[in-house]
Amino acid sequence: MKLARRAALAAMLGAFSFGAQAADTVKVSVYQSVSDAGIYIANDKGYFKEQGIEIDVVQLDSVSSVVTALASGQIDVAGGAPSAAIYNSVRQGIGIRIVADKGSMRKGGGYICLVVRKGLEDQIKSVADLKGRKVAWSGTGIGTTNEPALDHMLKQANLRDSDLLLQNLTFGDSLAALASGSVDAAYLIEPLAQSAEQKGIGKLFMTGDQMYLDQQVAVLLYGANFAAKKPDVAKRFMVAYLKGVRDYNDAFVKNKDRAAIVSILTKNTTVKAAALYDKMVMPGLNPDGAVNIAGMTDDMKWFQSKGYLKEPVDVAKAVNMSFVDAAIKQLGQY
Amino acid sequence: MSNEVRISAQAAKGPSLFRRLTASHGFMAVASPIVLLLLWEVAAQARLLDPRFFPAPSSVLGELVTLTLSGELPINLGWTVQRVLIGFVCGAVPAILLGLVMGLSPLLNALLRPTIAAIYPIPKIALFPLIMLIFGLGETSKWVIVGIAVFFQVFFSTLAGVVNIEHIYLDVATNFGASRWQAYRTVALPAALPFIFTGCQLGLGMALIVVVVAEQFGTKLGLGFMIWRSWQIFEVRDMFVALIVVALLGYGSQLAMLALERRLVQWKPKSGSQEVKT
Repeated sequence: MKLARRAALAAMLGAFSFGAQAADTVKVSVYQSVSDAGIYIANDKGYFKEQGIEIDVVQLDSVSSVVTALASGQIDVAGGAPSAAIYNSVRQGIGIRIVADKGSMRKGGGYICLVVRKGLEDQIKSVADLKGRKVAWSGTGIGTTNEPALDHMLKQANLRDSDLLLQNLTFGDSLAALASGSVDAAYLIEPLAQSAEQKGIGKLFMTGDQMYLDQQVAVLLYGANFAAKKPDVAKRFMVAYLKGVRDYNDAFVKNKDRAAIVSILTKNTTVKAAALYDKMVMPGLNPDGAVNIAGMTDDMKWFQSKGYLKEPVDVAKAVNMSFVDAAIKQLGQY
Repeated sequence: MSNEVRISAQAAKGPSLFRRLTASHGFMAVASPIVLLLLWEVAAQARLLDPRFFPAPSSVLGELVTLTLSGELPINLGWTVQRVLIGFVCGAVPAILLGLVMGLSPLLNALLRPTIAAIYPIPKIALFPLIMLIFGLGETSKWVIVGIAVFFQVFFSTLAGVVNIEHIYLDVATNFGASRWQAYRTVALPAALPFIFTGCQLGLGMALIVVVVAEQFGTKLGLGFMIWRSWQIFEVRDMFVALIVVALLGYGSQLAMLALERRLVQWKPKSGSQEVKT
């Protein structure tokens, strides 16, 4: 009898200790952009908690800072563009891995667009008309994914970047330059493109998917330590993340529970006006987490041809889809 | 007698080589950075430092050679030097003129000094967005921001130089019937020259700091752009190359300014130069 009581007590204590087990904390870097939706939705809807994960959100300002923080273990997970910095870090043996999609120019989801200044719509009707024009294009000269996008657009009219008077400005400054008339067109990320239209500053000329369909512009990255030393946490994180991304797709593709998702995004991202979500081009987020390896390989080769990479990198080796595969096994295909 | 021989032998031997070397300022000036580089090399080779973030000096040197031979480094260096020189002239010339005039004119000093003193503490680079708005994204905005940074250093040094002129020199000039222009040229300017050179040295250093930051905007050329770009594409060795070249450029410009000062201000005692050097 005594033994049975002890066993019962031990079982209760065991159950208590499991229930009270601290959640695994995962440090995540985000940019507060709408393409971070998967993370915000998963957090707000309790998907991370469901997986025994608590996220600690950090904000970093550039891919290089993300690389440094991931390499030194200051953060575990980050969103970032698959730019030259990522490929250079992989080439130098920093064990960062691309593990899932976090934004691509899927059809209808080209959320970085070219906007032509108001009053020039009649003069700039095709890409060829951009020749000799002042164009603000953020991230040129530093190996960002914006550059292959520009190259793809210009190729439609057999132009080269030297045919344009390019100004390397931030997205915010590009909008200001468009408003002041300093540039004739500007490459703007949403919601700035929509904002330019609403304020009568410019007119949408071409969306990102019309320039370069399916270009991978943002990815989810895992730090080497996180992927190697905490693979179980990394898998659970992916399950929660993909659930968040699927809710996003439900909302903006299937129009399901849209108001609740918009509310989460207005609370967490820099796009605070709910009305903008009805008008702006929403980022394409793959509900199955797949990334465009062929496209990234093309971009990597382009970076190398421009001198951003001293040697080519095997992009497939920079990608680790095992976490997505494990999550899909659990969740099924979308 | 034997004692005498022993003493003279010791005297001939003199201080040890180590003592003689450590007593030599020239040797210490060369040795200290070399020792630092050696320590860095050893730490990087022994993996005490992560070479992916702190590459060994030997690999940085190799990259420096590659970038020099490819022409990338000389082109960027040329742009930075050009911007510093033009900006320096744009800032130093009005600073010297205004410093001289205000130093000899109490009225002008009282009128302008509060405004200049109020603007002085504003971090110059914080004005850059405003300057880009006024002067555009091109070269002019970079010359202007460098000029502003140089102006304050040279202006305050010149002013201090003129204000500290012993009044008797000015009185003698006046008694000998010197005109205002002659007083400026023959008394104020020569007396203030050592101060002006001090200001120019400080101004050159400030010009380099400012130009490196300014080159991160609206240009694809210059050492500042090279540093920023290398960091953005995570090519850390290139970043160290550009940082080292900026450091050498700063040191070289200080030496050049000192040489010019020695040539033009021959009456200045050498100890004064030493002070400036530190």
